Amino acid sequence: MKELINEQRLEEILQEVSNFIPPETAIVRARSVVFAHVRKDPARRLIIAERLGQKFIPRILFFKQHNYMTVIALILVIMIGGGGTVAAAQNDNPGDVLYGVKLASEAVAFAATPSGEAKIKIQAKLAERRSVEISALKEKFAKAEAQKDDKAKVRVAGHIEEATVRLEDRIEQLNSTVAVLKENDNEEGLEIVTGLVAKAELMKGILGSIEDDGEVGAMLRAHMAGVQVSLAQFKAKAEVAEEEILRRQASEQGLEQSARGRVSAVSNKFEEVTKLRSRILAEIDATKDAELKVKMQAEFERRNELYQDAATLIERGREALAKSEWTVALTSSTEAFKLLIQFISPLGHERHNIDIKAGVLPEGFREFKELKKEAREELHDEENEMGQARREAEQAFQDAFKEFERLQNRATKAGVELSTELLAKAGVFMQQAKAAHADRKYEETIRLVNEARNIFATLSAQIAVTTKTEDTSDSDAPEGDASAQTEFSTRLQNAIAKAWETLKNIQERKALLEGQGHTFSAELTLQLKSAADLLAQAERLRGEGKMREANETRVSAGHILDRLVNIIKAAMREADEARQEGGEEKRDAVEILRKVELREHELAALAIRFDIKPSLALIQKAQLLHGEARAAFARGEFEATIRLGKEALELLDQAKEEMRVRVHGEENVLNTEQ
Amino acid sequence: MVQKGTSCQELSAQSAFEQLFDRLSSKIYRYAFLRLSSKEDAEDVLSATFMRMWDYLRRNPEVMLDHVDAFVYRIAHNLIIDQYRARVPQISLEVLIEQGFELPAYARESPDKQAEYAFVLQAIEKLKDEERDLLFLRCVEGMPVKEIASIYGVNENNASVRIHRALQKLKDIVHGSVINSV
Repeated sequence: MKELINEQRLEEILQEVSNFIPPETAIVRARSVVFAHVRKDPARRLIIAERLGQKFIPRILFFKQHNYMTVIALILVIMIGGGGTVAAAQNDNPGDVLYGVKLASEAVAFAATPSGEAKIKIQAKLAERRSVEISALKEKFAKAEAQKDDKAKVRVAGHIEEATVRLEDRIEQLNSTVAVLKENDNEEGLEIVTGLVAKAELMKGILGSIEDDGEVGAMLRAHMAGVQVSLAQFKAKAEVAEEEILRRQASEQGLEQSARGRVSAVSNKFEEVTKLRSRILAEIDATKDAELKVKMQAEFERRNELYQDAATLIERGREALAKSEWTVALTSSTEAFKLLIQFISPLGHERHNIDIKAGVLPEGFREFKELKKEAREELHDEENEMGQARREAEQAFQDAFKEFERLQNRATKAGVELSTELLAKAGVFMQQAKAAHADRKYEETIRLVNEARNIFATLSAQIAVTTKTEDTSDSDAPEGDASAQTEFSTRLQNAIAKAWETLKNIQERKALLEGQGHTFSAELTLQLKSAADLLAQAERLRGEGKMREANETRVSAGHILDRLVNIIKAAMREADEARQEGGEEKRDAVEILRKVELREHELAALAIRFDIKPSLALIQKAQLLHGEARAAFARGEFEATIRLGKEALELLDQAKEEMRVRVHGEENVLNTEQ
Repeated sequence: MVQKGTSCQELSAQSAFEQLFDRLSSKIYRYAFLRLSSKEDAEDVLSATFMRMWDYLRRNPEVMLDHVDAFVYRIAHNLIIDQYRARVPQISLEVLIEQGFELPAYARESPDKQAEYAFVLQAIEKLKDEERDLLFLRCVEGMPVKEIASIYGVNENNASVRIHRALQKLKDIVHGSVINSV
């Protein structure tokens, strides 16, 4: 008996497996998860500080020579100490040495700001910083792309992803706070809101798009699109708040009074902006870098139009005031106010060398209008059910965050380290919940938030165990916080019940589809069974009070069920499609093609095993027919596919029969060895 | 590249850790992917492995690691065992390809050579976990026997023997399955 797959070939095949290159996106995503975890490490800041103190000087001189400003800044750091580090860090981007310091300083600033309007201003500022970082990283990414440096590309892409995630978080926070501003019907509230609108516009421009066509580029583009949508939503919300404030002011104060107030406020603002404008001009004048200077000038020219328009509008407002045309005065001065704020906000960024392309801003305007309408509807949907569901979802979110905070506090107090895997899992659920919320799938949101909360409860139980009985975390029934335990137990029960429901649903759907002639792999049945087993086990464990194990088992079952749901969904879609176009015929065609392929593989295997060539004429003819059948299938001619496929199958069967005869004839292995 | 005797403290410098990730991420992903046949799970294992690694490095700065790569594989291995024990193992070329498993050479091969791949991968499924790991580390990732031995806490000779036996068993299974298909 010949051994055709010998050891050498076996090793060759195994070696070939190492040529499988994992999808870039998966690596990038994993990378960002890992480094988000690394960043969270509180001790890491100390490492940076340590490095600053000891080994840092040669490092700077070696790596940062090209950027003498940074070197100077860092030398200052070393001479002056802490505050300088923070200052030097402010222009760092993700991936730079001092970026952690920048984030830390921001967190301090944020925490130190009293809540209310100032906090919102800081939030907006931080969001803007993230978009500036993204813009800088985008340039880096394009550079890596140009140099075909794939490693750098993936690294930068990871950083961009981190920054977009942070930006989205910020926008999210802003979104939830704009509503508060509605209530502040003073000039300051208006200024902030107008500023927010301008900032949203600005960020939209800065973010732009990613040019790379590769897998990484596509992923980043998708990310970016997500950010743009939330940005537009935020802008729409801010505008609605703005209108609200204006309307209220007008109705409360009487038209004349508010018109007079607005005109005088805008005059003050104009003076302030004029001073700032001359400072900016002086700064541009003093810029040494020629290229940067040209860019700054161009941007200034563009923005200067806003300033001029504002001046005209203010003049018009004053005239209208003189003629007692209150509405005209009010609207033109409000417009002027907005223009002034738009004028000042973007200029600060020229230092970051950002190329805000002219004409970027009006783009997407239509889409934005629609979103604005949506936002307005959202404000009014409070009475109907949607509003109810939304409030519930948001409440669930808040509760979950509170729970998480409590959990963290408890963990810190008890000195217990929480399981990173579970935290990451909970994080994923929360992210998914966030996405569902953005899609207005509120029930889904609540479900996902509850999943996360279940994990929090598990962790909470873990803390209880570890603190009560040291080093016996694997022992039976966690004791401790009794009420938390009961609560968790109930929630777990609900979750298990839900999973059973899903399982039943899957079974019903499966039966239905099978009735329609769909075939499922045996594996699916097996998995259903193992999911059922796991759920039963989870129930048993819960009954025994082993909450943590019970929950873990339930989660495993959940994973399986999720996958099965996807398979069933796909099958249903397929069935739908089949019904729509040609129905059974298409299914038969698919089936026959599959059979032909299988038979071909089988023949190949036989040929390898027994080292006999099948009849070449038959095989070639069959392959030809197979090719034609596939072409027919692609054209949607299912009848022809079936006919050609059957012919091919017949030929292959003949070839197989022939081989079988030869094998049995030449070596009677089958009877003797089997 | 084998790094000898690196201290955890050195590895937990950000640049070193990033390098470690860049060097091993594809390998760990592949390892998990072939064990779990699911790209989502492979991705989870990859990130969880490096998070654990980071935590370990931070907690034990003074520990010297002789075989860093082997250590990371060990973490991944434990994670797979812990987290996915309940799962029905299933490796088939079809499932893998469906999940995005692409081999440049496989695509170029003739159908009969392709069939060999299918047989080998299916046969791998029938191996025990340890045998599968051994073959993967030695034959797929080309890890030195010495490092493999350090993962399993055995001496080099013992590791060689085990690898050889696993390969032999794989061969037997492959041949058995070919016969069965007639």
